[in-house]
Amino acid sequence: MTDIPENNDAHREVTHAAGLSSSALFSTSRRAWVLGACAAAAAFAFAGASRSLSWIAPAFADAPAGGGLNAFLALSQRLTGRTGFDAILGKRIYDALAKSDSQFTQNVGVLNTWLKSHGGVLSDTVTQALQADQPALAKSVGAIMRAWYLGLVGDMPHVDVVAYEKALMFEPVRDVLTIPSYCRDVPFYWTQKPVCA
Amino acid sequence: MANSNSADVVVVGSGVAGGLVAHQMALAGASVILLEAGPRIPRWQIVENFRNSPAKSDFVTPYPSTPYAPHPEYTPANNYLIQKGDYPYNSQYLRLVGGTTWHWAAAAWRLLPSDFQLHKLYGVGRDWPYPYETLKPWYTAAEVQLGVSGPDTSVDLGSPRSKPYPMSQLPLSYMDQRFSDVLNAQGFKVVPEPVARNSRPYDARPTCCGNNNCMPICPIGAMYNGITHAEKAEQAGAKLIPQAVVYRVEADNTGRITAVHYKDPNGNSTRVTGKLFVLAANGIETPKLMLMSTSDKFPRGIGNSSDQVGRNLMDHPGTGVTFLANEPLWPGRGPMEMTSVVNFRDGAFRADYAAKKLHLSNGVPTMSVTAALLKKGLTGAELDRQIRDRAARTLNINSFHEHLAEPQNRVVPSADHKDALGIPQPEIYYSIGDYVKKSAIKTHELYARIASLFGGAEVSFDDTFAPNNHIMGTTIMGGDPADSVVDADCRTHDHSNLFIASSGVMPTAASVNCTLTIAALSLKLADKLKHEI
Repeated sequence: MTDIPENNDAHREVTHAAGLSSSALFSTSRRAWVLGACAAAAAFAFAGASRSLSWIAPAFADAPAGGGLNAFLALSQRLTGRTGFDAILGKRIYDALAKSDSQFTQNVGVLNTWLKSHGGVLSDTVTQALQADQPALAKSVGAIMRAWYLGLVGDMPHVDVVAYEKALMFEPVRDVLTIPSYCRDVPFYWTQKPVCA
Repeated sequence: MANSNSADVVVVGSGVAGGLVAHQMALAGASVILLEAGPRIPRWQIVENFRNSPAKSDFVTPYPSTPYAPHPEYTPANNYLIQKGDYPYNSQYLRLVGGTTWHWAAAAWRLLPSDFQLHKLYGVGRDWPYPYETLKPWYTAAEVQLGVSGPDTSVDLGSPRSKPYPMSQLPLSYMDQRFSDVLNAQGFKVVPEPVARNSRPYDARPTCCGNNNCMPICPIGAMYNGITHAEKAEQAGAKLIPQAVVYRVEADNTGRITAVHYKDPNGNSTRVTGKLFVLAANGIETPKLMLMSTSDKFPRGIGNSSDQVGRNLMDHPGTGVTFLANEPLWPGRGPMEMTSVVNFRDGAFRADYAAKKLHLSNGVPTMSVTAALLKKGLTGAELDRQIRDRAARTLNINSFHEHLAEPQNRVVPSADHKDALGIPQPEIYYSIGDYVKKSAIKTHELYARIASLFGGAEVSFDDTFAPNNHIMGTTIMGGDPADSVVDADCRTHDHSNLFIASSGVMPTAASVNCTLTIAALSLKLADKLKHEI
């Protein structure tokens, strides 16, 4: 068993709408990073550094005020270290989070403001910094990360599944591990030592 | 051909046991009615249910329990099993056409010859009424029916064979090969597991391509599921009736079974007559049904003159360990389980403590690793870095300990908890004794040793005994009608035309998954029935 919230009465949403398949907006650099990550440990350091810098790029500095979708996406970029998202999935996650927590949209705006005023906080340490300063906001960060990475929104007994195969948890290992229930290669590919192993 | 109310053979339960019997009997020209309590759910729907489940690590969630044929659920708990014993028996099983092998690891082990003579050799537990050799040809037949791939003769699995496995073994994953090499160099015996999973196209089903979703659902049917034989039975002429919840077995005053009665989801009752009756509704629902079927002539229920129906409940209490290896091994490539440690399956120690099998998980760890990291509050690039690092190095090993047949471990129909049709829920009295606990202490030490062989960090032991959903012993087989329920032919001692196809008949649990033994027993039983039609 994992730590994933467990709930069988949850409202279940279809996660594989056909519209998602062609709308992946992951940036080219992100894909390159993922595909190239196996090559050397150094790739991690490089990619990690470049992504940590990305949140101080204009995209974030210009994060829209308030708690709308674009403000949420800017916040998500900062929290996940990514430069772009699947647009349909982003909208779905935003809507689900907003529905699950009446304070959510307000917190998006507050979080963006907080991050702007804490320019020295690396995306890796946001939660830690917030827990000391603003525990309620730390909780919102946890909900956002869980939605993007595990594809889950809400608490028992009302957990929405907003993503499965596009959940971000699969990204860091997509060159090596399958998304369970999907086939990633020909039979017996698994005998080979992964090039990065 | 069978109509809906009468047949030569009436089978209750459409899992691997009932499906095999129904198929064999239909092929032999008998009219067959196959009654299944649960609904029929197509494979694609189960796959969709999985992908949309908010609790993917609970393998029952793609198979929703129904009000009319409930089965145990734990996220959240539906409290279908009423726990009354020292130790909760949180077993899973499924009620739908095809039965519980919709989700399993496909491990298709034979028992060892010594597993049939536990009492004779070691002075504990019970003996089977016959030796390994009697079941041996039926194991071969079962391996052909299910489609088992396994190692060639260079690997001795301890169970003598007359023929090779129908399919060569699936080649090991990099991790499983490395695990085997490291442990075997240190005196362990790690072997490729025989599995009902295709290493080539077999029986109109494809080769495994590593979807890594054996539990809860193989999306492509490369792994055997009981639905295969439920459907084969239908194609051979059997009449399969889903949503038919059998609640009473009817006997005349001579002891012959005359009918079974089932309710549909609306509670309407139907009586089905036949010549031969086979109960194949698993090790909990079958004894519950027998115990519910009381009458003036049989006040203790059907087949229960020995008072052993529902008793001797056994499983394989399991413990586990998880650790980070000091090298990237990448579990999750290929099927979910490929190797087992087998050198603790037998030995003189069985006089003192339980035999066991250890097995390495090859499940994709991405989800559990990520959930744990999110709980720690990780964000940004560091989260991705740690997902990758930990997914590559997280090893998980689990175990099955042999449980002895003890009459106080039992299933009875609850007097005060009933399902939506008014049918009693199963009430469980379960305990785990020193025979298992003593072995589990040594298992813990083995786990620590294995972890150290991989420079294990963050070694996390799970010493809580988990049920492994191998429900055995509750309609136990034996030569003496005074202390057993069925004879060597799986015929109830009390009723000449009532038979049981189930792991419930197993007198010993041994230390391996029981499905292949269920299949062998079912084929042996079907052969007997062919001579009685």
